[in-house]
Amino acid sequence: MKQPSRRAFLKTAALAGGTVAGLSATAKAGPKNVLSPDRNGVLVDTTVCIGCRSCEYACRTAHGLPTPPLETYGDKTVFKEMRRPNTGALTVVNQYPNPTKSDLPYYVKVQCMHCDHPACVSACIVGAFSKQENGAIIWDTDKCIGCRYCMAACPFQIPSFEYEKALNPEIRKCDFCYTRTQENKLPACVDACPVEALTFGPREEVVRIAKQRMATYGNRYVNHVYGELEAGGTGWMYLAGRDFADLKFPKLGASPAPGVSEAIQHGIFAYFVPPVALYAILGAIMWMTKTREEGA
Amino acid sequence: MKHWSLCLITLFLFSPTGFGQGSKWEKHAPPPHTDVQCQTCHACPKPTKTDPCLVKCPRMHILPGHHPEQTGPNVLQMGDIASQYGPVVFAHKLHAEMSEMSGGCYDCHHYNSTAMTILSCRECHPKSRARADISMPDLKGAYHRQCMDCHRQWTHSTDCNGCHLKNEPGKTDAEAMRARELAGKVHPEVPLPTRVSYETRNQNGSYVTFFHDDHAKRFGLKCADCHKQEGCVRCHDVTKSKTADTKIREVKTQRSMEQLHEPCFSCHASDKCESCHVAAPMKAFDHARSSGWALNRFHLALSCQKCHGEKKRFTKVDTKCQTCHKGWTAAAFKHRITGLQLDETHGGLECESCHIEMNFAKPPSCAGCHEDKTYPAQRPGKMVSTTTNN
Amino acid sequence: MEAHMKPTPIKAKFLTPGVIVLILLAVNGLMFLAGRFFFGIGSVTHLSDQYPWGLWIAVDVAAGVALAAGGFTTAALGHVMHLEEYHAVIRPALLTAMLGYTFVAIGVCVDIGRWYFVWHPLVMWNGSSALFEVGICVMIYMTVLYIEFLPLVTERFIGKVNLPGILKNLNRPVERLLRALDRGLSKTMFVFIIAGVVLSTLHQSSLGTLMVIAGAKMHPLWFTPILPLLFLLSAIAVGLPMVIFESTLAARSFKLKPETEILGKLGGMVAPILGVYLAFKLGDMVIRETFVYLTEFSTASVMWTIEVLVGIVIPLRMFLSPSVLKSPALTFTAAALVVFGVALNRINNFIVAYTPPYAVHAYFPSIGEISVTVGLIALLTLMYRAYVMIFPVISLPQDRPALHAKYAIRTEKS
Repeated sequence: MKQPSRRAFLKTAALAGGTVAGLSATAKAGPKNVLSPDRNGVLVDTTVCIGCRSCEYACRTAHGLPTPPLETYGDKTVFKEMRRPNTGALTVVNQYPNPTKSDLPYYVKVQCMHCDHPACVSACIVGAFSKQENGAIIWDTDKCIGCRYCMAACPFQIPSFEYEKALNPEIRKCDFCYTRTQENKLPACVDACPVEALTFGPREEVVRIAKQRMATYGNRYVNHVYGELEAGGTGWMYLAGRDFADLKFPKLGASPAPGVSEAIQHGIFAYFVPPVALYAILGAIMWMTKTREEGA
Repeated sequence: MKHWSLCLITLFLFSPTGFGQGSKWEKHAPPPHTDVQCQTCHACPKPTKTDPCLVKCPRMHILPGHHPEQTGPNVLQMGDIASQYGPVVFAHKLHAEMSEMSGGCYDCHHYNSTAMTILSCRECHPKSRARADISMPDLKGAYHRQCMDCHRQWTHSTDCNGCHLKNEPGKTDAEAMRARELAGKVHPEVPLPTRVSYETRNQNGSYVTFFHDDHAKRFGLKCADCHKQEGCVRCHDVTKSKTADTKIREVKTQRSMEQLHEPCFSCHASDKCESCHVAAPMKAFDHARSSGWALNRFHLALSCQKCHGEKKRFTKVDTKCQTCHKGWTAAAFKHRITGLQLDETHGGLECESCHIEMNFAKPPSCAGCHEDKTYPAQRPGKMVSTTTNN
Repeated sequence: MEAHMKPTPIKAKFLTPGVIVLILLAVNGLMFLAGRFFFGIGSVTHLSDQYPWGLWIAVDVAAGVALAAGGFTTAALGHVMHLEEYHAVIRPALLTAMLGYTFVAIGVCVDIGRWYFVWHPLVMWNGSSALFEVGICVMIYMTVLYIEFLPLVTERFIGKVNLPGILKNLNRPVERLLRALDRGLSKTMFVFIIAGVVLSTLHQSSLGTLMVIAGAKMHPLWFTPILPLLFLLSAIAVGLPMVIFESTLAARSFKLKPETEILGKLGGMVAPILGVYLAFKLGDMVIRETFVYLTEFSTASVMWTIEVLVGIVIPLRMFLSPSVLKSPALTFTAAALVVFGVALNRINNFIVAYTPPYAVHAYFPSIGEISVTVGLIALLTLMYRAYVMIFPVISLPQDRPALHAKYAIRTEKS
């Protein structure tokens, strides 16, 4: 009577262990996270931007979001408060004082940074976010469950959620005009910018140009390309005429946002060895204590 | 493209600032006033006469281009986005005229061609935004970068309509009208302030009074001598009310002490702070009060240098007329010019008879000659009006 | 020798004044819940783009999972290590865990924007996501908990299946099914029990990994790379106190004699685990030198102090004292403090520590959020009461000696 029970124990335990180990093969099939050498980037030169907000209009138009007519975008009163991208505006421009030329304030365009090592892609429970070859991080409405973990994870606080919708609320953020760039068109904002404060091109080239500009016009810029290294590097990068902290850029180290959590995750699930080992140890303890008890 | 390079070569060959006309072309004298490297202008390591392989748009240095003022374009019409907007009418001459206040032609024409003629924007800046070489802005970006920094300060707006007129039926010749209107225009004379008082943060004397009138008219300074980096917004501002000359301006700036005083220090570098920073706004310079010698209407019309010399620190000039009026002779002098036509009796006298010790500054008194008190009731001649100048 | 203890359905009146209050709270919560489902999350909560997670995630999910840890800690003690004396509390702990996880699942459905896609993680995998791991583990563990609970159903109904009316004909097949189930389960139960412990270890720690990715936005008093370890330790530490807490409450509610001896024994085990948790928490603080943040007076420093002092240090001292362990009231107080401490820790980690730089004003839960959370807890309590009245959960002293109440791994009846 003891024997079959013990054999059954082993058999079942082995079966369960095998199933878990078998799953590990598929578990690695995560979301697409391509870091192509040809990925695109944009250089935002905040010293060139004139705050016309044409990019906001172009973005709304390109994404089918409701917008007032272009003429109303000249309204400078919107700069009185700091704005953030939201479900109705995937990019916004904010104004900051220029300490040396008070009548030429700085303007900072805010949108998704399209990180090289995106927290949202790493965090998303169902892999609804993916980083594409051309550098765009896009969101898949067919997968998203609306848990908003991407919003908690994003170091730039970019993804936005349709809180007011009861059915099929969407996560919205700049998609680097994925459909437009697929058709070899420029992102809508880059196309619209009258002063070409947004320079679109291969990321490596964009970094090179940023450094070249800093070298040529040294006194125009602070010596830092924001996004070159921040959070492991971002697709969108910025030049500025004053300290980035004064322009409300988050102070981030060079380590990618998902680095630590992925290391922990992959440590716990290293080929499912730790869980299976724990399973085996617990099984052994259970078997031994049981034997002892029955033997007693 | 072909046409362009041909043009360049031609210009290069016949350039007035030309290079050594000898048979050897390996090395020529560098263009004046620059420390230009060969590769700034030449793309290949060994340029030859037939193939100088000139760089179309050198971006390393600013090369001085010679460009007589009158050959610059008057009014330009830029119609690159004809599908949406009519051509932008740009009063090139008007802008060029005032550009001396802020850096001259190079303000916009920031890089010059190797052929040392002034390049227009479109010759370097490509029309397409989607392009391989993104190191410089495209034409749209280049235009707007040049225009918008001043125009948005001026209008406090970034509206397109300030320069672009929308294509609308029935408004087709609006641009042409505007072009005609601007064609012959020159910048109106700038009204100069006589005196400006600044309230500064200086503890010892917070007021600095600047006599613009004196500097511009008397000292003969040109606008660009002081106004080196002036933006258009200094005058062109839709919200700025016309300020009275004497209004006290509070100085609010983040500029350094050196930057702030730069226009003054070019002359007043050795002056003490107290000579400008005083407790209250200064009154205009009064020759009589400061030197004790009132200027008459003739002297008032003169420039300071006329009497005090070209030196920047004026020194005291003694009040004897002969000190300045060296070539003066009594025979040629008509007393009428002083406003007093001498009568016959007095006309025959020697100057010294009335003007004791030839001191013309001190008016003579009748009592100096006449003991009889009745004489002074009459004048030694009759008063005449001299000039309209008083 | 003491009377034998045997799990028995409790016979009592369901409706009491306390229960009516709970029903009212539940109804109030359900009304706000209807608002959330008809008009969107924004209509009920204070959540925003800056604060995507609030009370529902912190309490309904994170604290809920932590406080259901009694299930796996008692299972590990009783079944894996075969410490028979704890069997009396295994069933109440199992029920708490089962209901707890059920409400976690409900809480998740309430909070996520597309609740009808809650099954997506099962087929759409993202191995690098901590939340994915939590989700999968919670789903599987919940199934395991239901399987672990099945023997209570079979035990309750075998030989007693008596369906009314036309269903009468089904009595025999149902009876046979229950018996087959009982036989099958008794042979395989250990697989589920071990799986339950492993799954719990995984997701309790991964719940801590959740906020690691938000590191830049987390207050340094809480943010540390060892968050998963702290979460696991605190979950283990809160397991037994939660059993004490909920057994005492149940006993009091049903006017039963509290199982002082067992609870005292359980209490004796709390101190070492709580001590290890405290040691890691303070050790981490010393290594990362985050104690400097305690010198400034802020919400964060106050909340941290309350959490550690009231939630760990004081109960630790209490559990170390033999006189406390002898007194049911004091043991209960100490256990309640640990429960409070761990719940507060989850709230702190998910709400207080989350300080996004672009937030215009701080997050505070709305009436709607609080109502829904309170309503769900009330509902859970009501279900607990109903379950212990239907199923043999709580052990009562029996007049005559009975067999050991081994429901999980039964020796086969010969």
